[in-house]
Amino acid sequence: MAAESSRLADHVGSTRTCPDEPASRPGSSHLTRGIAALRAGDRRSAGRLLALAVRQDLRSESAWFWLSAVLKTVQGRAYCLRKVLEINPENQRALHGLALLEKQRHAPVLVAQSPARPAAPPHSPRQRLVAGLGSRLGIRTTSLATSTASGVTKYALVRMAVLSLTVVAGVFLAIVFINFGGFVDEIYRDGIEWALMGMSREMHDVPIEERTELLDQARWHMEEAVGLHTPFLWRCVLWLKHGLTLDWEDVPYISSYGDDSTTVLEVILDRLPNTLLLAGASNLLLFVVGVLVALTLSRRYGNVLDRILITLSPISSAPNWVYGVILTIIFAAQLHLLPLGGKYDALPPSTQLGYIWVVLKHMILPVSAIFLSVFFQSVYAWRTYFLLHSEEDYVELAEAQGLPLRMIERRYILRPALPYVLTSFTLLVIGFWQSAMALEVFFDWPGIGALFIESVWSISSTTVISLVVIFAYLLAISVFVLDIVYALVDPRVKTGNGQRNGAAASRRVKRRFRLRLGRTKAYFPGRTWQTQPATARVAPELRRATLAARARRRFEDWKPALREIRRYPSAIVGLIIILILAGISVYTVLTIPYQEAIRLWRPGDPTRYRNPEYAQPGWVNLFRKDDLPHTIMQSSLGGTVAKTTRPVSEEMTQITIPFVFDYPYQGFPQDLGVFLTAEFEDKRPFVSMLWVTPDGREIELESFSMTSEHTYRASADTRLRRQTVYGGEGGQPMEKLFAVPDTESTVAVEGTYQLLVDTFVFQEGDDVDAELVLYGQVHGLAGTDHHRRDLTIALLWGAPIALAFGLLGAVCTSLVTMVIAGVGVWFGGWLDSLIQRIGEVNLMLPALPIAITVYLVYAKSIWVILGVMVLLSIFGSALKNYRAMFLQVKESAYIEAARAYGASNGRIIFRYLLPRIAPVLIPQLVIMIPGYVFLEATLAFLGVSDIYLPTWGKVINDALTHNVFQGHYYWVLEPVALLLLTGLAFAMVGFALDSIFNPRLREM
Amino acid sequence: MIRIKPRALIAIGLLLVLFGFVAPFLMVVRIVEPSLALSFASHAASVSGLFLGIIGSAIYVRSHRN
Repeated sequence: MAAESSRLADHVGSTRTCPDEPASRPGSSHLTRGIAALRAGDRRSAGRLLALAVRQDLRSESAWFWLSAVLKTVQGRAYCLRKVLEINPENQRALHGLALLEKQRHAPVLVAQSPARPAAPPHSPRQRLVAGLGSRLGIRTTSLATSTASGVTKYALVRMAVLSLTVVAGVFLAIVFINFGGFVDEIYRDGIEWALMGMSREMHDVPIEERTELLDQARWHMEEAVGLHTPFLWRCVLWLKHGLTLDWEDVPYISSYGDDSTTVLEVILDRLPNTLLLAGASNLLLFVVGVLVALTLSRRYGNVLDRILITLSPISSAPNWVYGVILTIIFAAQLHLLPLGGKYDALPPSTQLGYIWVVLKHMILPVSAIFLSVFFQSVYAWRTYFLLHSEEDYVELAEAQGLPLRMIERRYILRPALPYVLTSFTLLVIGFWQSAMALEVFFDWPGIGALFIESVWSISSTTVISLVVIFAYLLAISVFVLDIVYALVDPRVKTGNGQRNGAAASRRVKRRFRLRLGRTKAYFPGRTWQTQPATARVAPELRRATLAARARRRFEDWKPALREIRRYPSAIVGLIIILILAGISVYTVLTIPYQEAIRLWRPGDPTRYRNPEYAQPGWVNLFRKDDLPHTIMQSSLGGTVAKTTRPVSEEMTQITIPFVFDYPYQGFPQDLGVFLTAEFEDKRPFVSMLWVTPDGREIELESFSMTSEHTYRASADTRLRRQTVYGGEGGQPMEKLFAVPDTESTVAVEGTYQLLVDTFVFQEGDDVDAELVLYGQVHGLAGTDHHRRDLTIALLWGAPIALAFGLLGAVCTSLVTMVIAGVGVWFGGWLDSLIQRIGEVNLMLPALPIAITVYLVYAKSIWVILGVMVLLSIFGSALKNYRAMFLQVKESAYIEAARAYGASNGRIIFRYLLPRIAPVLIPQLVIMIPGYVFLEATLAFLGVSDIYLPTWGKVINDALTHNVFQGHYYWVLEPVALLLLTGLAFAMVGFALDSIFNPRLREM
Repeated sequence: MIRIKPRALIAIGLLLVLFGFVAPFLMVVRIVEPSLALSFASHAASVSGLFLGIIGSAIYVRSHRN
């Protein structure tokens, strides 16, 4: 097809003059400029100018002819050439061009598609023109005068019925999931047994027979109350009824919130407006800023702002709570401009106006986080949508026909673009409801997202089911409203003929897929794209090829695409980051084996006491004038300190351990620790310690008689705290040991310090050893946490886990979705319909709460959680995309050939269908990876993670639950930065690959 | 099929989005009693308003390019 098109273009391009075109004809200026633009290679300007020339003079033979050279679609070209022949039937070039087009397989250009319903004969010239153009382009232009209201009403009723059924099915499945097939019953039974044990203890004075009878009655009533006497599936049906009506009045234990009078509905009504407020405010902000920016960019695309936005668009792959962390550190913790979280201040406002201000102030950060997480991606998508669908050649052609602008906008711009916008919009809405949970938990915002997580953790099934229903209702409302808006702006839905709509959509998708596949083929010149079955085309020598040879061949296939990637600097940066992360992962797995990492991370590591607490990473000294102190360690056991022994009497011996060290810092250390170990028989050794500063001052520290092990910490030295001579009473112990005395100075004295540990032992053979640890303010590459754990371990091990989680999730989801879509398309019928319905129901299932439920009641492994998330994702939106591609491939001639020679269904699906679209899916797979990387972090942030496995999300969770906002920002910023970097890298590569394989994006 | 100018479409979208913000805000500050109907209506308004804004903008871009 491409070759034929180029031949036609060459043929037209070879015509250098237009003898039949008088220079004075209307539109000749546009024609001349259009031809010049075409020869200069500027097809876009050429198309616009030639369309204007045609519009000014519909009888211009040359203008129609040259316009045919500009248009990309076969239908458009054919239509122009037919117009040329209408004007001049003898035009040989037009006849030749049409003959070329007729040869093309997918060129139904000379046969006007008959409408399904006979159209009313057009009366006015405009109607005739519209009808003519519509029939030639395969677009229905009838029913312009039919009732819009009845069509939309019919469409709305159908959609409402479908959505209602979907909601019911989704909620029922969620109920089954949330009860986990009856597993929750066991939890209820355990709870009842615990309650009965308590009752039994209180009834100790009741006779045993009577007590047993009372307890049995209590058990029966409790089990009845939670519905354990009703069969599980029937109980699910009853709960479905209660859930859909949000009526739980006759169900006990309905809520763990508030007093007995609080119902689930009241709790939800209290929380729901808070979440809607965040959604509404972020939508308003997105509308005002996003639409304006997208409008500006689409009119001035390619400028600096446009490029900045394109570069920044991948950062929208991060979830909103990640931006919440960054914004909170900047504006709340550091600048103190905004509150850290919650909805109210500590003190209630005195006036209604004050109340309004407090709420507004508290919602700024969450709304900003939501806005940042969707802004760049949305604006990029909208701007691309504006550009793509205002530059189509069939739009130029319609303009050339003189159709009214409104009609062009509705029929030729909105119609093909709306499904894309509608889909992305629905995903945006679903994405918001999923991410709202983590965001509300982070900001302590009392919305239904936070309520959901609270309910799941407290296994409050009725609340969880009610919230699933609310989510399903909100989602169904969103989809329904968008459908109605879609119906109002798209004339096709008036007919209510879903089949025609489906067919038209299918045609559009096929056309797009052909374009994509064409581009893919261009990047795989070495690959054979015959229309014969694989077995028939594979050469014998290839069958004998080794695995290495095949790998080389695959690499050769990919060479053109890799060459093309070099044109995208962002993709290069992304690839470098991915390679670095992969290198770090390999290094980590080799140098810190899994078991070693677990040992270092879990509680009980015997060497961790040497690490300081909440120490910043070592690299912060690179950005400071005065270095923060590192940890200094000396020990008499390791030989770094020589201890001296002096007999004092026959029974008593003095052992002196002198610790001498240079302290070259002006900042104070975190703490001083001395760890003593003693070997003695009966009498416990006595220890006294003397601190000597560089200027010769001597400070006596605590003295004590020790057991076999003793730990001294200066921060807990009561004697030092009571010191009044140096630094005054109440000062910090480290200031008393290191600061200049009797001054307000907050600078440590640099120089050589000594700690003399004098121990007295009372029997022969007794011995004492000591280890000094002067805890610094910085430690290692990544700092330490509240458990003195070196964060380097978690940050290093976070990389392979994030990459494995992301890759496994994306690959499994893509492959399984592809197989399901392929099987559905191949077998068609009820199986295909069932798969599509499951996909719609799946949208209603709350993935995160289900994952948390599985974690709570079944397994504490993140890999099981990953499996659940993959299971819930395989019927996602990608299913429809893959299905559309398979529908196209299914009609290929080679599939027909395979069917003819008797290939089995499995062979056709797995050998011919699936491999055909695999290259097209690669960009989608790469773009999917950050989603899973952030999913792991979000789950860990919500407390759903392997208990001992160190991951980035777990570090964030630890940081946010342990005083990170008291200045320990490194603790959360390091894993957040790594997460963003990883997500950004894959997103940048994915976007570049999408541009390479998607010709429409590439043209921009 | 609607016949509204793009600017009007954007304006309607803005009003709907504004309603999607104001209605829950009034419920949060208890000026209006929270109800499921109003909550669903505000959500529907917010989503449809944003959607209309995008469509209106697309038409606006096209018409002004011409």
